[in-house]
Amino acid sequence: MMDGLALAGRPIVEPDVSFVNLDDGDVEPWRGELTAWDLTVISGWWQTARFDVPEPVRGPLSPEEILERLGRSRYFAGIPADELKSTLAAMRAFLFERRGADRVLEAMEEGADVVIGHALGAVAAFNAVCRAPADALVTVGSPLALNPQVGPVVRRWCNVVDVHDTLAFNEGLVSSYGLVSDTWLDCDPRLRAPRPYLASPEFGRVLADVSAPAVAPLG
Amino acid sequence: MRRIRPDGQLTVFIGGLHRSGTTLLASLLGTHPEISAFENTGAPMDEGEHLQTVCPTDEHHGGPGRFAFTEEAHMTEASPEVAERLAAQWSRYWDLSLPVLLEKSPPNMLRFRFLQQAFPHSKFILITRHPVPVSLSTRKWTPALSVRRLVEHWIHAHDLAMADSAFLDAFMTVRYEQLMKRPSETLAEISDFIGLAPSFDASSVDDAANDRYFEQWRSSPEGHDLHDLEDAVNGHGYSLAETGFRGVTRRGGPWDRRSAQDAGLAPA
Repeated sequence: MMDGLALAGRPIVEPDVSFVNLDDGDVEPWRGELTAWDLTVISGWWQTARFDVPEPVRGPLSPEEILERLGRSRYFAGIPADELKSTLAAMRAFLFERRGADRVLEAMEEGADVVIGHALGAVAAFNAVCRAPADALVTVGSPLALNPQVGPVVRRWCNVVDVHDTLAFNEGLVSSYGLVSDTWLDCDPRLRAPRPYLASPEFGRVLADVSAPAVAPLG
Repeated sequence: MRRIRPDGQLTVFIGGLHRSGTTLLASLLGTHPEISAFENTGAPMDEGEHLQTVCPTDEHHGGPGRFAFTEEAHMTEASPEVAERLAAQWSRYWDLSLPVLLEKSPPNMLRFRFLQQAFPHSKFILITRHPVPVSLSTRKWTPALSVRRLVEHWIHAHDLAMADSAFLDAFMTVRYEQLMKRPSETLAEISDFIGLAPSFDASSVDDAANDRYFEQWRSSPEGHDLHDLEDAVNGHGYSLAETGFRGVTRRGGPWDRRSAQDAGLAPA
């Protein structure tokens, strides 16, 4: 984040951060069948994924074949098909069962001015802020457009999204949520790595802006 | 699924700090007809760390210029289950018909012991480069870090890697500067280490890259307070003083002027 501030030309301050890693457990083994929602998401990923070397595709592909190929896309590079299925299950849990929100709320107990979430962490951050208002929310590479809800109570909500973010379906949030500002960038994002986003000047500008105290009117 | 044969193929792991020449060395070794390197994988720089989900990547530990300071980045033990998963995941990207399988990732330099346990039939190459060009070129990614902090990171990472090397059965250090100045000879030494006949294409080597950073270093006001780091840098065969940066004094250590001159690091 400090690199993002530096690249944005803003003062470099070491932020007082509580870090919540929602990806710290073993990946849950995939069980069961793909749901209709899963198939829709896989189709969306396939349409938005970016590949360095396009492979010729002859005829329709099964979901398994698509998942295998997605593991060679820039966003999902290296992720085996079974773990992509587990990612789908995790998406359902975060989007529809509010997974992770409790852990974010715990971290917010000592006071948080700005809550930042990346990828599925952005969904958890959103759900936490809906229950305990914060001053500002920054969602980064968020798939929240897949399940539009009533937005949280915050002074500012900024969404940072890459033009090639497969998890977010290359979509911003303003058309789904209204009271949010989308900031677009091109940082070569990847599912397992928030750094391309956080070390970008676009994110640095957003962070500096939402961290600044509200300006009192003169008079 | 095709898998690496534990008794058959040799795995060669390259590690070294970002901007030390890991990608260059891997691409040079990948031109050998008997070596399978990762190519067109979609992962950044085709690095193996991004082609598996078993171990954290350097970005989980702060990324370039920071990761070695994170205790968890130094990995020494591997369970059989972890080894099996790693081999399975990387086997998707190697050409398993070739006798030598190559994997390159910067944080390998702190994982050689771990990788030796996971891949018992393996050899390890640490590529090192002078801390000045490493630090100055890393800084474009980490502008919030000072040059001093980056040089300290360089020292810490190399201290750990060299301490770990005592536990390795087959370990080689390659100096970026020697690779640039004498690519054919250096690659021949690597061939001998791996156990292959030399058959590399070294036509892509640009030996002026370090000079540009040294010039930037000399003209920069930064670094005047790095005297205290000179001994530690000397311990790895480099010198901050020999870049020509005024005000830094060499204080002994295994810095060898003749070797430095041969490698183009010191004036003749």
